[in-house]
Amino acid sequence: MIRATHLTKVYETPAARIVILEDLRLEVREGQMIAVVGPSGAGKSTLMHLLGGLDRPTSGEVLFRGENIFALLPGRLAEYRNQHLGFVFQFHHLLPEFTALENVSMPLLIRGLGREEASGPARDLLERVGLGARLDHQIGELSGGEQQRVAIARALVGSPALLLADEPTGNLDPATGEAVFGVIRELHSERGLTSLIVTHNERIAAGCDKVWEIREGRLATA
Amino acid sequence: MTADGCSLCLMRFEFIVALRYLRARRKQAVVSLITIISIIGVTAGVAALVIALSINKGFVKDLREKLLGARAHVTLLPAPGSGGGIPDYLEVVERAEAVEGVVSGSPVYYVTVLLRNSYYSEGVQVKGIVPGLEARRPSFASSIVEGGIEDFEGRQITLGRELMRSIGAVVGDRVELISAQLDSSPLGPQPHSEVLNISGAFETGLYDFDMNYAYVPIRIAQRLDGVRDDLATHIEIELEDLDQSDVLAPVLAGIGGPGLISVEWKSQNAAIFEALKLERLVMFITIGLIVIVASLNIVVTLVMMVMEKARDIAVLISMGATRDSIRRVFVIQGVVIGVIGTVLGLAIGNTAAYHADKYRLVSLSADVYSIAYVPFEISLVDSLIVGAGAILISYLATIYPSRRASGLQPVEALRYE
Repeated sequence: MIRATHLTKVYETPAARIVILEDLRLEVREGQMIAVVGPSGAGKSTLMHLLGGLDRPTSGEVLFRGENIFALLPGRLAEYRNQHLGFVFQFHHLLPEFTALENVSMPLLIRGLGREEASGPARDLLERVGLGARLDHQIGELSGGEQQRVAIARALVGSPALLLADEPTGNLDPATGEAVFGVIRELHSERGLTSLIVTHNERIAAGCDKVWEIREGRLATA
Repeated sequence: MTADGCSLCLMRFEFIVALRYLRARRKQAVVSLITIISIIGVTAGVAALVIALSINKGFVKDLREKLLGARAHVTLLPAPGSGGGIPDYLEVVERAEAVEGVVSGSPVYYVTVLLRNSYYSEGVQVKGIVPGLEARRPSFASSIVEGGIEDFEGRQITLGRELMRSIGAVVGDRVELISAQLDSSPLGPQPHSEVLNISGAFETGLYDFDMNYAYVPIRIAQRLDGVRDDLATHIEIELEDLDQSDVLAPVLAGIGGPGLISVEWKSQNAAIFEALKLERLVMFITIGLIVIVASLNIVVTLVMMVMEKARDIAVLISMGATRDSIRRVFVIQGVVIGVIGTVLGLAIGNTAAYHADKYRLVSLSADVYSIAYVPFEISLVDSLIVGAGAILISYLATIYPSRRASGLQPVEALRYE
C-alpha cells in the first residue's frame, strides 16, 4: 500500500549536518498494523511526517498505491491527506474552539461537505469510540483519554485507508493508554485499515502485527 | 473531491473556522481585545468620514440654495462692448419663457448707490425690478420676511434684513438713495437722489446679499443711473432643473438676440464650489487615514492570530486543508472585522448626521457663516463609497497575515510543544 524508497532527510545548519533518516526503505502491505519503535530523536516522527506528505525528504520517494506523493501538485497532495490518511498525534491536537462533534466533522468539512452532512458520520464514530454522551462538549471539558479518542475518531471519519499514529498513547497513563490502543486495534480490524503506530510502549508494540525499529536513521526489523 | 463541486461549498469550511476564531474566547484575551479595537477603529474611521462628508455636502447644499435664492440660474446681459442695456426686455422675457425648462424670467436693472438715513450711510447695490415679474420667482417670494410687494410701486424700497439692522431702520422709515449721476441745479451739478419709503425686508440667508442689496421698482433704478429709456441691465431666468443651466444658457443667449450673452450660476460661482470640492477631497484623505490606521490593527490582530494558531493550522493541513483555504480563513476574518466595523460606522455616522441636522445640534455664529447651525446632508452614494473603500482596505490588510498563515511549515508547528 505504501512504500518508501531511499528516504533520506538531512537538516543542514551552519554548524552541522544532521542526518535524521538515511536511505530508509519500507513497505507496508494492505491491512498490516505495524509498530515503529526506537529511541527518542531516531526520526520516527519525521518518518510519519514524510509518509503523510507534511514534510519533504532530502531525497527518496514515498509511493502510495504506486504513486509518488511528492510528485503531486499541492492541491492533490492535500486531497491525498484528506481522503486516504488519518493522523493521530501524541498530543490530541484538537481545535480548542470547537466541540468534540465539530472537531470530528472537520475533515469532512474540509472535503466540502456541509455541517449537517458531516455531523452524521462524525456522530457515529464518536459513539463507536464511546463518546456518544460527549458530542457537544468543548475539548477542554474532556479527559486526556477522551480527547485522544476524539482525535482517533477525527482521523478515521473520512474513511482513510492508512492510519498514521505518532505515539498516540504517549501522553496517557498506562491504563488509559491501553484502552485507547484497544480502540485503535478494534477500528483497525473493523475498518480494514493499514496502520503505522509509533510507540515507546512495548505492550502496544507487541500487540501489532510487526515491529520495526528505527536506529541511526535506518529501519531494523526488531 | 466535493459532492457537487460548488465553490461556495468549499468555502463553508473556511467560514466556519474563521467565524469561530473571531467569536471564541481565547487563552490570550489580548487577541480578542485587539479584534474589538480593530472593529472600533474601522467604525470610528467610517463614522467620522460619513459625518465629515455629510457636513461638506450640507454646506454645499445650503450655499447652493442660498445663492440660487438670491441669484438667477441663468442671467442674460448685453455682450461686452455692445453698450447700454436691453431695451425690449419684456419681449425677451416672453421669448425666454417659451423655452422648455424655463420657469420664469425677470428683467432687472442694477445700479450702485449710497443709501442714507438720519444716522448711517451704506453703499448698496440696488436691484430695480418689475414687481409682477419678479414675484413669480418662488425664491424671491419666500425671501420676503416683512411687508409685501403687492403694492410695491412708486417710491418704495425693500431692504435686506441685515442692511435694515445695520442702519437701524424699520418698515415705514424713509431712506435716501444717492447715485453718481449729476443733476444740474441752480447751485451747480448735484448728485441725483431719490427719497423712498421702506415697504418691507427680505432675507435669503446669504449674508452678503442680505447686507448689500435692496429692491426698488425698475423705473427708480433707471432714474438713479440717469437712463431715460426703459432699459434693463439683466434678465434673470429661473429654471425647472438647476443642473440644466449649462445646457440651457447657450439656448437662451440665442433667443435673446445677437446683442445678448448668457452666464449661468455654476460658472459664476465656480470658485467657491471648487473650493468646497477640494475641501471634500482633503477631508476624504485625512479622515480616511483613520481607516488605514484601523486596518493596521487588523494586520496586528491577524498576525497574532496566525502565531497563536500555528499548531491548529498545521493540524488542519494534516487533515487535508489546502494552503489556499488556510489563507482564506484569515482573509475572511479580516474582511469580517472590516464589514462589521463598516456597518457600525455607517449606522453611527448616518444616524449622528441625521439627528445633528434635524435637531440642529451644532450651532454657528450666523453673522459669520450666514447659517445658524451646521447643516448635514446624508448621501447614499458617499456611504457606499466610504463603505466599499473601508472593506477594500480591510481586505488589503489581510494579505500579509494570510500569506504568512498559508506559508506555514506544518512540521515546524507540530514539532514544538
